[in-house]
Amino acid sequence: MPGRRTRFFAQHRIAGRARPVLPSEAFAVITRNDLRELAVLTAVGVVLGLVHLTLRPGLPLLAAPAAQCSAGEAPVEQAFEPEPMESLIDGGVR
Amino acid sequence: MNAHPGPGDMSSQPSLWRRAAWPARLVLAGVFLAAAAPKLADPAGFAAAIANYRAFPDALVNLVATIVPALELVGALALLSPWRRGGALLLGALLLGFTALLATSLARGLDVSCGCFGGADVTNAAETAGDPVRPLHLLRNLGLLALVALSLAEPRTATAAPATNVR
Repeated sequence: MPGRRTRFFAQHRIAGRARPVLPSEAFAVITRNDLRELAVLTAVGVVLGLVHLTLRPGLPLLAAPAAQCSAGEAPVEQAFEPEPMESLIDGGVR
Repeated sequence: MNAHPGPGDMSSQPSLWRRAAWPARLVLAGVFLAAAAPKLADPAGFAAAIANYRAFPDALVNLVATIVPALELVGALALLSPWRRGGALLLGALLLGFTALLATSLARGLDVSCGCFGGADVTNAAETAGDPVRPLHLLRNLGLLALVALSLAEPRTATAAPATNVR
């Protein structure tokens, strides 16, 4: 029963020389090992980001929604006079 | 197709992939370290830049603004470690996300700051303070994606061989 290494060389050696890696093989399939590495690195990054966020006093974990006018709040006064309808009728030219 | 050639091929001459992948990884790691550092130093500015894209709910902007640079940092460091394939996959996924975000903002006609290498200047009222999003950014991301593909193209012999194959 040939060992693992022997079987490997039998498959990958041609005329005593190492078989070159073809480009199609070089872009190898993403293996389960690669995906495991990706998952671990992602988890580390997320944890680091959360730790960074909690250590920042100025940044809340969940930001408040963007400021909007509430029902009881007075609307902002317009700094300019609204244009009368008559000026729109004659093409907006006064 | 065997993605785990084992240690036998290590004695052969370094292949073109191996020679090209090493500088590609160095460039990628440098770019992402340079991108992560200012974002980590000023997460509020980066959060403002992200909010301008109007792609995330307001509540999640701070989370994204701190997790994304951390992922960039981890991915860049992993590229220089034996976990280089995982790091390349992580940076590739990030680049795909960035490219999609840039493409959608260009398609929507948003005139916002890229925020690629740090946040917009929050003291400046203009949303485009800094580097406005341009099609050139898409081209740059495509180039970086090509470097990620080159890193992944490196045969496994040149990367860390699984411990089970080494005897």
